[in-house]
Amino acid sequence: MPSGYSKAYKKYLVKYQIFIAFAIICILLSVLTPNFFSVQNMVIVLRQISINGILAVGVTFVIIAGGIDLSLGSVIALTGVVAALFSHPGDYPLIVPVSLAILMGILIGTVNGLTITKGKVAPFIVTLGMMTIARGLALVISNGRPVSNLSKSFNFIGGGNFMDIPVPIIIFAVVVILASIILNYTKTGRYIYAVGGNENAARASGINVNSVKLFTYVVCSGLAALAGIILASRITTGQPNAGVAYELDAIAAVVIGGASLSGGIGSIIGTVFGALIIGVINNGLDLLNITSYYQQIIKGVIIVGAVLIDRKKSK
Amino acid sequence: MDIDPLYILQAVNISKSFPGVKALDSVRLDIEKGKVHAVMGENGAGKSTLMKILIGMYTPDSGAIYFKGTKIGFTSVDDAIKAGFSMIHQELFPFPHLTVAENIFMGNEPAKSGWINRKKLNKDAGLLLARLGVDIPVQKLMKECSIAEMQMVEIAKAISNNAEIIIMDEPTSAISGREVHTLFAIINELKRQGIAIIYISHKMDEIRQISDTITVMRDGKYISTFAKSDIGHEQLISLIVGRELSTVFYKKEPATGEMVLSVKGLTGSRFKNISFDVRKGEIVGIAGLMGAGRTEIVNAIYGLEKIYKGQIFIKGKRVIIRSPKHAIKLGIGLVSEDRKHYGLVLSSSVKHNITLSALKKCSNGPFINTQKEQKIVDDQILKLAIKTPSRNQLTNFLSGGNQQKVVLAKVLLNDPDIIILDEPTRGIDIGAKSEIYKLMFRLAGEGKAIIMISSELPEILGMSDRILVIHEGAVTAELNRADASQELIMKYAMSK
Repeated sequence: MPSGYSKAYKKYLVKYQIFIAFAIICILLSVLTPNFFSVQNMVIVLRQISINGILAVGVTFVIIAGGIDLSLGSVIALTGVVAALFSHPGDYPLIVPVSLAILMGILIGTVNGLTITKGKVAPFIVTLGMMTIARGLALVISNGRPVSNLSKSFNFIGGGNFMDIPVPIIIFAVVVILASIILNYTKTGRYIYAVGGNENAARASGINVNSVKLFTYVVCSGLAALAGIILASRITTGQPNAGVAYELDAIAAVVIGGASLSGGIGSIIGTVFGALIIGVINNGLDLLNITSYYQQIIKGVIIVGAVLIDRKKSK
Repeated sequence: MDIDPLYILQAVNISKSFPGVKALDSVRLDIEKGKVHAVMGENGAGKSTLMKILIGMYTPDSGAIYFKGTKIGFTSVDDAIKAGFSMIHQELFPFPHLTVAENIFMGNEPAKSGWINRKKLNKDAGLLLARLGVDIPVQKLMKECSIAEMQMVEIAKAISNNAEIIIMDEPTSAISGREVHTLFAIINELKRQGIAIIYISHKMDEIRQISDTITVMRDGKYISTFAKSDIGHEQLISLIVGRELSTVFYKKEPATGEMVLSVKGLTGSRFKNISFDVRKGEIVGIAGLMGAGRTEIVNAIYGLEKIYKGQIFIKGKRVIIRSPKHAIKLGIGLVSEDRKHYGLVLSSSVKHNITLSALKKCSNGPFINTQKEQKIVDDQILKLAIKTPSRNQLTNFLSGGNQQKVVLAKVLLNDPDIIILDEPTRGIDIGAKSEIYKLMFRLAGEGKAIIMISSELPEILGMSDRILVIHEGAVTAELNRADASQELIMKYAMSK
């Protein structure tokens, strides 16, 4: 049956549209610039997206559960500064700054989550407030100055290679695998989809909705702390002004990856490709010598365009 | 079709279907100018659908509507309002932070080149309210008005649009006796001014008091129309109910097993002093009108609604149920009346919905055992005869009956001792209905205690061992199956 065939074909297209979009962009850029399609450039792209990718994975949890987190950029700065303050050469073993930064992230996620669930304040408001609070804290504890002179071992996290692969890429890969396992193969993951898809039905099914939501904010801020460590290490400085508007790129990646901001829909693999698409476009436009001003316009068009196509599809 | 000039509005042979349901089947309605025309019928009789067609929210599949002799076909509510139709909804949607006057003229403000003439706005609003004989300060904020006052504002808005037909959907459901009196005075004033009122209500005494003509509908069909004086109370009730019990029900022996659930003096925001027992293997039906507080009672037992006073006992032991999670642990299962909001996660698959509240059964620690889950799900799909192309199908794409079976499958997977079914057959076709009845009898046979809320009297009578009738949050009767009849239930459901 030709009609059945074309229907199946269409279904296939819809299901894999993000991969197809990614492939088309890559092919296009390979034709336009000779340097795009090379191993070195691919590694550069992956390293560039690993920070945004880790953030995006975290915020995927929050968005699938029906929330939003705007505080990520500030959490990156705050946790980067915290890590840097304890990473001067000869001060403490690496585990200390790393654990402290991650704990700080978890603490912020807990505050966000509790204010949203127990305090019943809208996630947008809570995390908007946290955005300025965390930024302020980063400035306070660093006296407003970049924290530099960091140990070699700390700088290895963002700048080193392991078996010729940049460490951030490895961390990103591990995060992606763990996050996929949690979302697809654990009870908690299932509950996250249920809470975002229909909070009332989830509660009536015996799910502790508040603790599920809290979990997503803790994961999100915890991963932001990880990204904060990587960024501070990569620029060898705890920079209290770092990470401004990073949350927007992360949310964009999640949305391009097919998640719904109203919750219940989304996937880690989609988010990864969303981050890849943003990364590849940034990289390609760089190679094409298009100024960053135009890059911003193009990126904006792509974000809205991707969602527009997605909405058309779901109708 | 001859148009009778006596009528300002004639709806002829109106039919409307929704997926799986024929909501209206060749219905007619003839409305006279300056009269109050009551439309009566059980829940699901098709009154709301008919009104939504008149006001332009739905387009009928077939049939014609004549307004003052001309055939009309509204494509939007806006069209209908411009033509002179208005509807006062059961639930009002005012703009709370604007004044009474601003609400009355919303979308229709007296203005000159975009600038609102406030003086005229307030003056005209005052005149309109005076025309209704009510005294509400026009500058009062809407949020400070009582519900009765908001209703009057809505009516004023309707006449400001020069409405010739005003539809009132259960206008007294949220107002008190004195306010009802004022409303009726207004309705009489509107009649005097030649406006036709279509009045929907379940309340017999009101209908007797205010209406001139009564049309009865049942199961989406037009039954008949009378002048009020031509029909008696009992006769009206039997026309509204009017069905013989269909044969899909299976009689069973009344249960005599041990007491599983006892509720004593339960009081909450929408119900007071509710007491009843359910035995092992028994089906207890809860009857009553929509909004009587039935859902709130069972939700309270399931931990979804606050309990102010009263006690719940399960197998003789006092329990305090804090959450649905806790209720499930105590062996209670609830199938909600509102499948889409409380039953299913529509964005998730059949599989994920079925195992949602019993993931423990198919996981090792935090991890889900996919194979075990699939087996459990396939079992449930088979057992409940859920028609789905695959277990991974999104529940959003299933028919109403199959969605309901998915919810049942989810609830039954926890193997509850007490099963609460709130309108278990609402909006599903007759085939799926009878499957659900069969399932209920099987479950009762297995010794489950079942509570079923239903607005369909044949269902209540056909299924229940015992029937509780609820009126305005209180039990007005407890009837044994043998003593119950549709007329009796309706009588207790409509009055104390």
